[in-house]
Amino acid sequence: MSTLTSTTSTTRPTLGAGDVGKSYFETDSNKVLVWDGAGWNEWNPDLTLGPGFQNNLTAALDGTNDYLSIPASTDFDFGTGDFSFTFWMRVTSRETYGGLFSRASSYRLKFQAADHIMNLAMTGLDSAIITYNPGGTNTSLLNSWHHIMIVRNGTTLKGYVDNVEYGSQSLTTQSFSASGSTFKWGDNLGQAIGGQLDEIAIFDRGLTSAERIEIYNNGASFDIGSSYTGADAPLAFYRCGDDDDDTDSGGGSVDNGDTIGTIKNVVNPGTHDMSQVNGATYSNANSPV
Amino acid sequence: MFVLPTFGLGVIASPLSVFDSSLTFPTIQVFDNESEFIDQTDAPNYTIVHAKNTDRLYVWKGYTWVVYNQN
Repeated sequence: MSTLTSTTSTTRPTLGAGDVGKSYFETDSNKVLVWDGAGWNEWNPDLTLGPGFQNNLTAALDGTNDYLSIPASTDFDFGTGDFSFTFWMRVTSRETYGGLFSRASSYRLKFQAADHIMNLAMTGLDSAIITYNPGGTNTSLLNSWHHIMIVRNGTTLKGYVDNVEYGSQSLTTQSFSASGSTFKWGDNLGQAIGGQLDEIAIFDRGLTSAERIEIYNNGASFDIGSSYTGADAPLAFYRCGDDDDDTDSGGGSVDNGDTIGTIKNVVNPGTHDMSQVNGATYSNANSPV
Repeated sequence: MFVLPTFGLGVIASPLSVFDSSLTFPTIQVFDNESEFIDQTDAPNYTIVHAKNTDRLYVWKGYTWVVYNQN
């Protein structure tokens, strides 16, 4: 078989005129590089496919009123304890305070249309800015896939976009609990986002730096449910159509375009399973990297 | 005693491996269908292959295939 020599973005060599055609695989960016005699031609990856663990489908929301729903559970009442959320998003539209997720008004991650701020609002009117596109008109987070992580470790809350830290807040007494509230994805008190969500994982612990890197670098075909087990296991992991037990609205197997039936929590099927409201569908368009 | 064949980098290969060890870059292996290799885990790191049914390039990164669409 043909193998590429590996390099990294910081150790990428500079070659000479006689090295035309030499090719490398850049392990940190996943780029393929080909030297043309004067510089590098680069191929960016489009997606990853894990053996036996492929990611072909996502949950698609119409931007009007679709959302995904997890039944209320005290398991998601983290109080002042640690937690982490990781997911992929491809947002194409938002209402004024469109929600990426929410548990009533107790805690919710908004992606605001006017100023592109993404912030985590908490009980008591506290909020933490997770990301902000300077200028107020920058739409770089729209129409393409991005990985979002929210991690609380002790008194520190941090938000990451594509594993770059965008926001940090010191927490004192803020509590993340919402007893009796449905956990909604793609909604904030009736304000929707349009686009796609995928590979949603919820932990009742703070991810470590190494875990954040592992999850992000493995892309959207990473088996979070099998990679972290025992005390490290997530509370829930949703593959949004790619788990064998996910179903369409008729209870059958999943096809592209089907209305979502049940999205199984793959780490504990039957507990915290997800359903859809108002017609969210499975989609294989625009596969995440 | 039966000895498993090894690739140049010392990786133990399955006797039934679908990957052709006679090829060296820049000649890469071309599969008719992605399904012929996508579930295999025995390719050496950074093996590059092509699938005709998808028109994609694939690079094996130890645990996953990094995929490049034809632009």
